Amino acid sequence: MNKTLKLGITLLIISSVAAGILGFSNKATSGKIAEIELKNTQDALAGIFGEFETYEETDAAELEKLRSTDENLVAVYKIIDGGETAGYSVTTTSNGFGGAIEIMVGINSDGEVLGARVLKHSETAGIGSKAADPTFTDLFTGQSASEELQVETISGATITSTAVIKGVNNARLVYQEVAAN
Amino acid sequence: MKLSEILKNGIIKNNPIFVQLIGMCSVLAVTTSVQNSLAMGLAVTAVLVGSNFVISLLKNVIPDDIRIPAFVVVIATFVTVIEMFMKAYAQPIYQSLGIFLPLIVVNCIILARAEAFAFTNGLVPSIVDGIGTGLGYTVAVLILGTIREVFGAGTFLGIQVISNPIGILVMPAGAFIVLGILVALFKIIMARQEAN
Repeated sequence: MNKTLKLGITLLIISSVAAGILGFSNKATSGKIAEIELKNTQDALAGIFGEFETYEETDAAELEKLRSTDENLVAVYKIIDGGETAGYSVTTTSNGFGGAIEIMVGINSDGEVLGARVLKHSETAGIGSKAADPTFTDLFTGQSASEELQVETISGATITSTAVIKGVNNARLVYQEVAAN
Repeated sequence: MKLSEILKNGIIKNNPIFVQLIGMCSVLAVTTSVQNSLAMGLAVTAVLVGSNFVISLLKNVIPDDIRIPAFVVVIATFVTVIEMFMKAYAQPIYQSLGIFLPLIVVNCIILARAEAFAFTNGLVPSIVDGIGTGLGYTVAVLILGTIREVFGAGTFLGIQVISNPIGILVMPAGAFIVLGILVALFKIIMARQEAN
């Protein structure tokens, strides 16, 4: 009994010190991490919409409702320029060859796709990753969001291109729903 | 054992990849590009040196019965701290390593060095052992990553170098093929050296 207690206490002390160190590093890095994530979002939005006044993030309750249209929905941003809604940006994920592919799609208030970007992916370098390049995702630009967006898949990267196309189309459906409100 | 011998042991004689063939899962997964290989190599080296140092320091405090959970706590702490700092200051590398960065916690190379070396040796030899094993790992993944990226994707650090790459080399099958050839070459070189 005594020995068990001693072992437990030793492990407790080691774990407590570890927890302290982790808490300290979390405090040291969390501000910087939040800053980088915010900047990544802003850069991605600026890459699609160009210059705009401001943007609003759709709140969690609203996102939950929209998930009935696309269960993988990550975020929706309303782009505001000159006091009016200039368009919406929809971020969603789709399953590729190496896991989830995160895609951001920007659609203006006239229902024209301004651009699609792959934000995160873990597809095979040099093969599937071709379908994550802007040369592929730019093919969506200029299409109308009122009907299904069509792009030819890249041979050799069929799974990834199909996943990207599916993700972009799911984002389009979410756009239709938010734009209708 | 002399310090230079410990260092050489980790890099060549007991190279974790080419000789011991341990920690293969992440090796096969991250070596699709030179940049990923280098980042993974450095992260593993940092965790190895850190955990070897702390475990050697605590070897008289940690009772034998609970040494494995204690090792895992120490290793997990180092990995998580490195993960947080990479996320804050090296975001692109953090993203490209993905799940394999937190999985360093269960990388058996690190646990093996803690168990086989740091727990029974002094502070300085343990640090040197961490550096040696870490360098051995880094060099091995860099060689694998360079061959796979240059011949499989046709690029080096993202810059196009050859126009008709052999696609299979960046696939999992290619990882096994390249690794097999490298292990064979390493054995031949070692055997030659021993014969001399």
